Amino acid sequence: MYQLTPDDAKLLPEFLQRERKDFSLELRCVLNRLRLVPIAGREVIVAVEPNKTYRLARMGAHRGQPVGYIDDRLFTDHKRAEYEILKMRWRRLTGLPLAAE
Amino acid sequence: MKIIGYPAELIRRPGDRAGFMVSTDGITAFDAELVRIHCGDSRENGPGFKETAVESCRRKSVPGRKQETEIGSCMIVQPGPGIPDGDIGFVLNVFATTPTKGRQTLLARWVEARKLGFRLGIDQGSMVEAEIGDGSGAVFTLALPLPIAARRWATIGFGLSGESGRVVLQMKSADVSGLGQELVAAAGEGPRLGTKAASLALSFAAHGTGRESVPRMAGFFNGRLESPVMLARLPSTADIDAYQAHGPERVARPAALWGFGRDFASSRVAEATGSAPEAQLVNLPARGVTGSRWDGTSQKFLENPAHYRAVHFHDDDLEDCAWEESFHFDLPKDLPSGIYAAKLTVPGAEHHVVFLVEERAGMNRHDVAFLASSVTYLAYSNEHYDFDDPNMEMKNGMVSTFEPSDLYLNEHRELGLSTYDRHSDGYGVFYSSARRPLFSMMVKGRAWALNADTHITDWLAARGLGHDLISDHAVHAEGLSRLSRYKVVVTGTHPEYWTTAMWEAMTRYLASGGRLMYLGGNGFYWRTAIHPEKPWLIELRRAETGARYWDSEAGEAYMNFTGEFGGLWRRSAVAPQKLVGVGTVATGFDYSSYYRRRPESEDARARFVFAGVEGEVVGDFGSIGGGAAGSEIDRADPWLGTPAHALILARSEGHTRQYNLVPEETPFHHPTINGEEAEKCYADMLFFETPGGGAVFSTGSISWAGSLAHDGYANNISRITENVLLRFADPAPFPAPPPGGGSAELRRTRIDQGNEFYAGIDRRV
Repeated sequence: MYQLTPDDAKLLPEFLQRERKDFSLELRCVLNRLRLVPIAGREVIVAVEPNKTYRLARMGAHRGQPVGYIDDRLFTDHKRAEYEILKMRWRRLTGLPLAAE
Repeated sequence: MKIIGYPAELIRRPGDRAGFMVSTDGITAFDAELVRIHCGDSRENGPGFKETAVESCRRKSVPGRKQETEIGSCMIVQPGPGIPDGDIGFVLNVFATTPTKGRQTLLARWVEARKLGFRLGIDQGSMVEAEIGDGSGAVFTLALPLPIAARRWATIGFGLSGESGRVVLQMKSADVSGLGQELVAAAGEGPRLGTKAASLALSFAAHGTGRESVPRMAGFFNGRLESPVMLARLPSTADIDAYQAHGPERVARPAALWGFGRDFASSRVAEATGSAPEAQLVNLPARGVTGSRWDGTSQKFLENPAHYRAVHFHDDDLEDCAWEESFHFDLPKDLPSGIYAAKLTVPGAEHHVVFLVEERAGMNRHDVAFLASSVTYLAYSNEHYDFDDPNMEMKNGMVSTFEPSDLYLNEHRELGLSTYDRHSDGYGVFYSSARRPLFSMMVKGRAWALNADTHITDWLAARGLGHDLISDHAVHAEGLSRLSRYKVVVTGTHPEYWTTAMWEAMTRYLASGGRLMYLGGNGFYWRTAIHPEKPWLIELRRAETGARYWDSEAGEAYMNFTGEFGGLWRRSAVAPQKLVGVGTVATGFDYSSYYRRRPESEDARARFVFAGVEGEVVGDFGSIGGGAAGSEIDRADPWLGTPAHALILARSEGHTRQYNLVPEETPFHHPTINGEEAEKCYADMLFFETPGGGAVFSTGSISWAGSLAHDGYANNISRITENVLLRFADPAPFPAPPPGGGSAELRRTRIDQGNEFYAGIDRRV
């Protein structure tokens, strides 16, 4: 499994700056690692208004348990919502700060 | 969701009675109207949601109430004279798949509300236990000293004396490939039941609650039971040994034997001695699964039924929601065939209960038929993989995003699983039922399955191209006669699941001058079965290989509905390349790409396809990933049967790293199986003639239809599709192709293709 390092933090802002298809291989490694998290408690997105408005949420502890909202923020940009979740996972997995965006 | 429902029958015909089952939450009445769905995609970048009402079919203030669903499978034997009331015993094999999940019932004559009867089960600590209650409220419990192991066969004996109250329990490993285990036993004295439980049903894999309404059963067992033997006495170790060594039919003096090694498609289980009632399987537990004696010498249940006399029960099996009908519409006799819905409205909410109206057998109103992928729609209902599969986010390359209907489905597991899911014990789901709300047929949701197919029906309507709708189920049931009334058959975006009868019908149609437009990707992929007596049920096995969300267990590749080998068509019989020229090569769900025309598009045989189309690149736009070539893509392969005279008119390029070759395309994995680096990761747009003046046009891409509406339908994908449709609808036969007239790469022999690898002639820079 890819091991996240403090230097990887500076790669994350690329997520917002580039189209997905243009992501560097280095960023892809980081993203893949951030996606390798257990389902229980995994951060997800809820499209409260499909294709328009998004909220950050968290999976339940067991199969069939409700998804719970993380906070009150509303996003109209799906990629921005996704970035917030990736940052949460980064902090959770590494305990390290992120580079300024 | 405040209101939800399903059609009594998924597919209706003009003039039919169409009933609907509806459940409401906190709402006492709703309105209903029949609408035709032209486009179900409500996204801003799609064609927009389009429906028209059928004025003659409206209902006002239909009473609404919450309807409950009983989920979980079991087996029931109705009370009768064949079930002993004095001494009674049982010997059976048990394969527990979730022994730690909590209280589960193996067999019972028990009513929970009264604590009456007897019950054999697994307790909170995975111990096999017996409970005896005389209805006074007190329960005698006897447990074995060792827990039952997970996923290991064990023979269990259980008995009690109605007169003396003596209870015995025994367990011995029956794992033919394991190291064995000494017999463990326990005995005690419980209440004397006499005939107090005589009116109770005998149940297996669950017990009765005593309620008149849902839930009527509880304590659902996850795992397999093997042919239970009932005795009119307490079992002995000799009975355990006889069952293990020689099988259930060799246990001495049985009072009943419900043998699971026959009638594999049936929910009725015959009683072999003739002295006790037959049993009824409830909620579709899995059949055609390996039993304790299976040793790999046979892979097919019909070949050696004694190795397959097991039934796999799950606490999340569902055959039929069995809701009461809420209302019906009498469909007009002149109703055009198409995708319809009962549109249910309440203040602040609406719900479309989608169903199909197809032409009556022996009738057609147009020369063009849209073949609705009704079997595929069922296979996808009701998928939970975004919630339950840890790799879905990796596969999508995007954080999972749920819509409100997804959240509802996640929390309402009683609506059952899809063939993409695993049961709660980790085993794959074989079956899907149409008798429940079908989330894969919902409109205004994701552009996938039926909703994506409305891009085609929308385009046909927008371009004024008259068409009938026919269904997979009709082709399955009626064969060639259902297809042969049409000059052209147009598929949906993802006709993935095909039964043998469907495949044979399409082969015969194409062999006799039919014309097929395959406007999708990952089509003709999984061999599927429709239940011979219950057409609302489908079955499949994920055998051998293929892009799949679970693997069939060893020895379980054959479908119990039909006895056919399941899995990919490519691995079980015929590859799709032989039928439509292309077959699945890769999947990916971030970006879709475009096609680049090839010189073959100028060939006189196929010039009509690109008439009026300028430029080399087509389909670099669209509402599914931004291109016409994407999501799941197919390519030509002469090895797998693409006709040598086929013309590859265009080929996609520039797929992303999120695309990966399907397993059958790369028998061993290596670093260059992604869309950026793989040698053959592309969709082929292909044309070839069939005997009798017929033809096939294939796009090999799920996202094709998402490009049809771009720029007000004035785009090259729309133009190509219309060019093909109009030519295919023209009765003028396609001339037989000249010898050697196909794309050069298709004309090589099998040996030549081997040389290809050495020459690297596909590695063009």
